Amino acid sequence: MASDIDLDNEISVTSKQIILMLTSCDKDYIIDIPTIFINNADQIDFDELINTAFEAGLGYSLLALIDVAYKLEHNDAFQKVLSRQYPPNIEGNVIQDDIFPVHKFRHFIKRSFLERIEDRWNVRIAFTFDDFYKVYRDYHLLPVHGEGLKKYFGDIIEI
Amino acid sequence: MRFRTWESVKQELCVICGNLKDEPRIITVGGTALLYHRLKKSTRDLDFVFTTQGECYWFAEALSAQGFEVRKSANAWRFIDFKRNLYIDISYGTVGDVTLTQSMFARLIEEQINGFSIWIVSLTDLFIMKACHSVTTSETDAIGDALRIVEQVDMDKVEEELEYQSEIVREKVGRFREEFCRNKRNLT
Repeated sequence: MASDIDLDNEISVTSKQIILMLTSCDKDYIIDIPTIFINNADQIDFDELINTAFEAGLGYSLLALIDVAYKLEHNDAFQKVLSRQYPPNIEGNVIQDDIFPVHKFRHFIKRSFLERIEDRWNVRIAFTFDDFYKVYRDYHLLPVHGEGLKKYFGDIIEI
Repeated sequence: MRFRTWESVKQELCVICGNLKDEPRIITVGGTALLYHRLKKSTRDLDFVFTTQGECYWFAEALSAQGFEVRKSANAWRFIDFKRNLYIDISYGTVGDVTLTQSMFARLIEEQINGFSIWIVSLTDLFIMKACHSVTTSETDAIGDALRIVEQVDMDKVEEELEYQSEIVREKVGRFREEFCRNKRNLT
C-alpha cells in the first residue's frame, strides 16, 4: 500500500491517496493529512474527497481531519465543508496508529486538545493537537510564514 | 520534502559531502536512522549529531556553502533549503538528554558514501533516545517510534548503555518501560 502513496509532489495528491493514508493506521501518514489539506486547499476538490471518504466509511474521520486543519489555520474552503449538515455519526469512527491505538492513547495521554473536534464528529482521535502541529510547523508555518515568525522570534525556532 | 528511502538520504548526503572541506564523523540519529533501520516509512527532516563542536561547524559550513539558511532552536541548529522545503537538524555532544558515549560509538553502523563514512546509531541507542524524548514531550509520534523499536532491541544492551548515561536518562527510560512496555502487555 505504501507504494501507492506518493506525496513527494503533494500538489498532485488524489482523493485515493488521502483515503489510503487515512486507512493506513500509521502515524507517519495520518498526522501529515491536515497539513496536506492546508498546503493544497486550492487544488483539492473537497466535495469529491468527502464523497469518496463516505463511500469508504471514512467520511467522519475525514471531516475530523479537515477540522484539525481548520484549527491549525483558518481557511474558507474548510469552513465551507465543515458548516454543511451531515447526518449524525452513529457508529463513531477512530483515527489511530496500530502501534499506539486509541485505548492505549486514552490511558497515557490525558488531554489531546482535540476534544471539541472529537465530540463534534463522534470520532476518537489517538493523536494530540501537538502531533498535527509539528507537521504543520515544518511544512506550512515555517515555509509560508517564515518571515513573520522571524519578526517576532528572530532566528530562534522550534524544532 | 520527505525522504522515503535510505538511498534518497544517501543521495542528499552525497551532495553535502561534496561541499565538506574536512572529515567530520557524521552520525545519523532520529527519523533518519529509523529510515535506515526500516522502522519508519518516511522522515520529514534529516537529523545528524556530531561528537564535537568543531565537526558540527565543518558540516554547518558545507550546508551554508550549499545555500541552506540557518535557524537556531534550544538544542540544535536547523538548516533550511526553502526552495525544496528541506530541513537538516544538527547538534553536537548530546541528543536531548542522551550523551554520546564510547559504548554507543562501538555500536555505530558504518555506511560509505563517496569515500565518506556515515555512521548510523544502533537500535539500542535509538530506543534510549526515543524513550527519553517520549517521556519528555509525550508526543505520540515519538512514543510510536519507541514502541516500534522496543520490539527489536535486546534490553540487556539497553541496561548496559544506561550505566553510562545520566540519572535523568535512566529515570526516563525506566519510566517509559514501566508505563508503555508493561502496559503494552496488559493493554493488548
